[in-house]
Amino acid sequence: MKSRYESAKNVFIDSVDLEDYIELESSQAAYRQLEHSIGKPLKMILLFGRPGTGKSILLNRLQNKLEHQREIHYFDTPAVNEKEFFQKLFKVLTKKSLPQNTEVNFSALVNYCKKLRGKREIIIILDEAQMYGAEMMEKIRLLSDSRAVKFIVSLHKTDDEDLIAKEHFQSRIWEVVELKNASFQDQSSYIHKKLLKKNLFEIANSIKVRDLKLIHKFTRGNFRECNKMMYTIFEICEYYDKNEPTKITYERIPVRIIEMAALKLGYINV
Amino acid sequence: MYEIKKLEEEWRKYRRKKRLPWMIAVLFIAGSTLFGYYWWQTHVSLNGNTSNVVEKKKVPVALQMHESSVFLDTQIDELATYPKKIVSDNPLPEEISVQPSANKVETTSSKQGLAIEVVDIGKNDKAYEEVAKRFRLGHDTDDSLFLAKAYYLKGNYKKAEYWALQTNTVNPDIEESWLIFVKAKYKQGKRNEAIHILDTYIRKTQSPEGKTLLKKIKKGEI
Repeated sequence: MKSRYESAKNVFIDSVDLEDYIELESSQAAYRQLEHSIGKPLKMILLFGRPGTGKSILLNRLQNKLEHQREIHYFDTPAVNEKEFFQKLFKVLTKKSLPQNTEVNFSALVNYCKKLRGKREIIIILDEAQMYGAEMMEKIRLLSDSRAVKFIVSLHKTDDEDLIAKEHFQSRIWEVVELKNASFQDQSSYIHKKLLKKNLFEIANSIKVRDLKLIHKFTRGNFRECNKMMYTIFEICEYYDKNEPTKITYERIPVRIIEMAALKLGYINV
Repeated sequence: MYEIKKLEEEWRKYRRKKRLPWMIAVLFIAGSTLFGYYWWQTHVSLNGNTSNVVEKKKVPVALQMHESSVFLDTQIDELATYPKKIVSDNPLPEEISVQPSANKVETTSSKQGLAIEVVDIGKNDKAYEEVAKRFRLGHDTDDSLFLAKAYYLKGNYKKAEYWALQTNTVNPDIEESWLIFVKAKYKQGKRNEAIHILDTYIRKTQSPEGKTLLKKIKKGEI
C-alpha cells in the first residue's frame, strides 16, 4: 500500500525544475532586481549568495521568462576547460558549431563580438561561476567589454569565493544582486506552497508553526537543506506509516521525527 | 529507511543529552533553594530562636521571683520558710531578675515543706531599697519583715530593729517580727530593754518561742 507520505517526500526532491518554482517575497524581489539590471547598460551582473539560496532556479526562471524577448543563454554547468567553454560560446554567438579539430581564436572572438555591438545584445548566464579560473574570468571580462555580450555571473558566497568575487569582479562596475537565506516566513511559505502545489493539503496542514520553527532552526533558511530535511522527515513518516502506524498521527508531524531527521542529516549530534 | 531503529536510539540519547542541562538547572535551583532554606533556618531563624531562648530563660527567673523566690543569704536556712508572696506581684527590678544563675541555691523548707529558691542578692542595697520603697507604697508586712530578717542576718541590727518595728506597727500580731525586734535590741547592747520588751510580749501572748528566746538572752547564748 502506498503511503500518503511518499508523495510528500517526492515533492522535496532537490531539483532545478521550473515547475517546482515557488514565488516567494524574497525571490520576487531578487528577480525584479535582476530584470531591472539587465535593462541597464551593464557589462556584467553578479548574482551571489550561499549555496542553496535559490540562485540556479532564479536564473533558470529568468532565462525562461526572457527567452522570447531577448537573446539569452543559460550555461548551467561550467565547462570542463577553456576550450570547451569557448566552443559553447562560439556556437551561441555565431549560431554555428565549430568545425571538428579546430579551436576558437580568442582574439578573433573578441573582434567578432565588437562587430556585433549595436546589432545584437546577447545575455549569457553563467551559473556556478566560481568554477571558472581567474584567467578564464579575465577573458570573459574582455568579451563583455565589447558591449555586445552581457554576462550574468552566479557565484557561491563562501569565505574563499567571496574573496574571488572581490578580486575579480569588484573592480568592474557591475550590478550585484545578493540572495540570502530564507526568513522563517519565506521558508514556511515555501514548504506549504510546495505541498499545496501537489494537492497535499492535509500534510501541509499537519506541519504546525512550532515544527516550521524547528525546521528553520535546523536548516537556517537554506532551501536546499530544507528540501533535504523535508524529504527525510517524510521518509521517516512513510516508514512509520507502513510499519509502525501507532507511532505516527496524521494530525501533526511529531517533533521526535523532525529531530530524528535532523540527527540523520547531521544538523544535531548525540 | 532501514536504519530507523538506530536512529530512534540516537534520538533517545539526544533527548537525554538535551534534557541534561535542564535537569542540572532544576537540580541546581532545588539545591540552592534547599541550601537557602537551610541557611535561613540556621542563621536567620536561629537568631530569632536565640532571642526567644533568652526570653524564655528570663521569663522563668522572673516568674520564680514573682511567685516564690526570696533573695537572701544562702546560709540562713530559717529564711527558707519565708512566705512566697514576700515578693509582691509588682515587677521586680531588672537588676534582681537578671542575677546570674550561678548564685542560685535551692533549699528545701523543713517547716513548711516548700521548695524555695533562694537567691543571694549579696550587697546589692538597691534591691533592699526597692523592697523598702514598695513597703512604703503598699505597707505589706511581708516586705518589712523580709527587710528586718535580711538586715538582722547581715548584722545591721539598727535597720533590723527599724523594720521589725515597722512590721509591728502595721500588724502587732506577727511573732517573728517581735522576736527579731528583741534580738536586734539585744545585739545593739540593749540587753535590759530587750528582756523587758520580751517579758511584756510573753505575758500577753504566752509564746513558747518567746520564752525560749528569753532563756537564751538571759544565758547569753544568742
